Order: sequence, then structure tokens, then C-alpha cells
Amino acid sequence: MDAATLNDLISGYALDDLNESEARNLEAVMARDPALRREAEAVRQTLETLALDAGAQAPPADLRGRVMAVAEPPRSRLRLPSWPMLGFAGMSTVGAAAVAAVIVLTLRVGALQQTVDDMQDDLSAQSAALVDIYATEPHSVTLHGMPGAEDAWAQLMFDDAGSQVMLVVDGLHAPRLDHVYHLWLVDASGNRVSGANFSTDHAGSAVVLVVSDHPVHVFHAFEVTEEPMHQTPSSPTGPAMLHGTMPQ
Amino acid sequence: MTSGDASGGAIAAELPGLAGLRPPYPRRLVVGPVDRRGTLAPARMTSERSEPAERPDAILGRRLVRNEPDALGGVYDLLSPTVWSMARRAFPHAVAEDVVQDVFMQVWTRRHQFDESRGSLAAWVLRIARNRITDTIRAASARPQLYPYEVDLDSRLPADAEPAPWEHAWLTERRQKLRQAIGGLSQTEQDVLWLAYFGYTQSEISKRLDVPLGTVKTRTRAGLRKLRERLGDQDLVG
Repeated sequence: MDAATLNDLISGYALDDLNESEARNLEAVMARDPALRREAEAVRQTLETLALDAGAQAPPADLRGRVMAVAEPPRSRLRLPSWPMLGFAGMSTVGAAAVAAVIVLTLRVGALQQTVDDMQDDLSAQSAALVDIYATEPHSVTLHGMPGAEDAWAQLMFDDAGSQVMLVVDGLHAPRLDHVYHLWLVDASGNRVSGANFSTDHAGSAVVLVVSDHPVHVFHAFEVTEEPMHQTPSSPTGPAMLHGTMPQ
Repeated sequence: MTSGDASGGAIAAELPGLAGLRPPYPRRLVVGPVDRRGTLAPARMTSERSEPAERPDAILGRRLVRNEPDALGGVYDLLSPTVWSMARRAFPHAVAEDVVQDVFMQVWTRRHQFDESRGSLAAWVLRIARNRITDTIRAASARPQLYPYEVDLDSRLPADAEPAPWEHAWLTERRQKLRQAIGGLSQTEQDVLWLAYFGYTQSEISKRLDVPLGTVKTRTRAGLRKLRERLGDQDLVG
């Protein structure tokens, strides 16, 4: 293969414009000659530099704020000690899930502006957590109703880092007077780490967003119990109403 | 980079370190190296030249991966003029806004995937931008009734373009080097390269420009080869 032909093939490689035969021939030559492969990658990189030729115009002044409002909300509002609870107050599970779905879908199609404008500040922070959870395939654990709450069901979803967690609860009757529900994380030895307090609405629904300083992956199971309000229990005082184990 | 235009007064009022300067201010300003926190240093006159000790995007890339406050803001400040210009080259204003917003959202949500050992932050961000633009063009081609626009090749800068009031010296220098190299290509070679960059196949370019396929292939490959020769081993964004 002469140099001109080789150069031509390398350009075609960088442009993703080789037919099957050309690609096979070039791959065979590059397999024998690492320097040629490096050159092919350098030519591919040359094409990437065209981005700089587009110019350096000023984007619209308000665009930065719109990006930052959704992408990097003030985390201090979320990072409360231990396991804070951020519920979609007064919203049914279906409604909250619909909001979450709208946020995620909107992010994916790039039409964020109107949605974000319509959101309250809190929802903006919550949507950022959802973005983290949905940035990759979300991990999830299903929690099933236990005796006394057989119709209850919950799904716990979290991101790759295991720090952004969303708990969706359905069919769990409202807690007794002066009581709240409490999420527990159970490690391999059966020790329970305190999670978030939450309540369900009249329809038995709740959506809870939490930020954990502990990666959720390290826990083996999750439970929800009913606990006295205004207390921080170190261990469950009642039976589990919901229970789920981490998929292996 | 130009200087001596008195219209830079507003810029001087906004950027630290320039309030005491008497007009005429430079029309565009070059900002200095990124400090260790990833913040762009106070603006300088363009005549002042100094090389940053480390590439600004390298510092910002590490901050982004560490999820540090305002890291995305730093990345946006550094690269949004380029991403915006790329998008405006292809799309009308409103579409370009959506594209740029989505690009930086992707930068944020995929920040854990960035690996500086595999390339620079600038290259990574600009590749995301290129892919996003290419995807949108593809969508527009498939459903033209929903996307009534085409890639604009008639002008490098749209008529309503405003140059970014300031730019990092590191990017300015690289852009100038690239433009010097591209200046040696014919307009047709530049056009076919841009279309190829935006993901058009050679057949599509042939139809779009009404030029025989063989000619398109020759011009595209020749243009790219020339550009490679003119840039040599200068790694502008990689």
C-alpha cells in the first residue's frame, strides 16, 4: 500500500467514511504498525479541533443561570445532618411520580427552561437529586408490606454513588397520632442505621428524597417502622411495616 | 484579539481589576490562568501575556469530578462560548439555547464518567457538544416538519452574533492557531469538513452541495489531511 493510499484511508478512518474492505485493510496495517494507529487517532483528533473554529460568541446572559439552577442547586439545602427528608408535601404518589417523570424526560430532551421556570426552589433541588439518580440506570430495591400493612409497597431508588436516594411509598396507611414512619438501613450483621422520617398522606402515599453520607450499596436490607414523633430512635421500637433486601 | 475600542467600558465595570483603567478599554479581554480553586483570574489587558502553569480545563476537570461547588460554573465560563458558537453555527437561536443547556446538563450528570487520563476536559465537553448537535441534526433530518432549519454554512458567525466579552487566553491562542491552519484550505474544503464534523455522510454532503460523491470524498479527505499537516503535533484540545 503506497503512502498516498494510506493517507487517504486514514482520513477516511477519521471521518468514519471507510467501506468494509477499506476498514479491514487499514485495520490490518495498523495492527502491524502502532505508529500508524497513533497517526490515525491524531487525524481523528484534528477533526475534533474544528469546534474551536466555530468562534467564541457570548451565549445569552441568562443561560448560565438556567443551567446552574438545575444542575448545581445549593446543596446546603439538601445536606442536612444524617438523613434529611424532603417530601413532595401534599402530593399523591402518582402525582409525585408524574412530576419526577416529567423532570427526567424533560432533562433528556433538553427542553428544561419552561419546566424549571415553573418549579419552586425546593423542587429544583429535588430535581437535581433525580438527575443524579437517573443519570445512569437507577438501582432499586422493592420493599414489601409486612403484617399490619400487607397492602403497602415501596420502591427505593438510588444513583451510582449511592448518595442520592428516592423512596416512593404507596398503600401505607397514615401513621398513628404523634407517630411517623422511619426508614432503617440494615447492614450484613443486622445492625440498623437510622434513615429518614416521613409520613404518608390520606391515600397512603409518600415520596421521600434523601441525601446519604453513607453509600447505600453497603447495606443489605431496608425497613420502615412506625416510631414516636420528635424522637430520634437508635433502634426500631416497633415491627417492620415494610421490608426489602438489596438484590445480589 | 483587538484593542483600543472604547465600547469596553461596561466590561471594565463588571470585571475586577479594571475599574481604575482609563478608556479606551480593549473590546475583548483575555482572562488569566485559573487559580487552584478553578476560578478565572482577574481580567488583564490583551497585551499582557503569560502562560498558565496548568491547563485551566485540567484544574476544572478535577474539581468537577470531586463535585466541588461552582465547578460546573467554571466549566461553563470556560467553554460555553465555544459550545454556543458551535450550536449557533448549526441552529437558530432558540434551538441553540436548548442544545447548550442540554450539553452542560450532560456534563453535570455524566461528570463521574470523565477520565482525564483519556483526554482533556475541553475535548470531552466539546465531544458531548458535537454529539448533541449531530443527534439534533439527525432528528431534524428524520422529521423535518418538526425542525424547520438547516446547518448554516453561509457565514462563520451569524449576523446577530456578539463576541464573548472575555475569553481565556488558553482558548484564544488555540483558536488562532487553528484558524491560521484552516486559512490554508479552500472554502469548499472547509465546508465539507464542517458538514462531516456535524455527522453528515459523504453521500449526504454530495446531495446537499450538489457535488459528485467522488469529489466530496476527495475534498473532505484532502482537507483533513491538509489540516493535519498544518497543525502538525499541536494538540489543541486533546
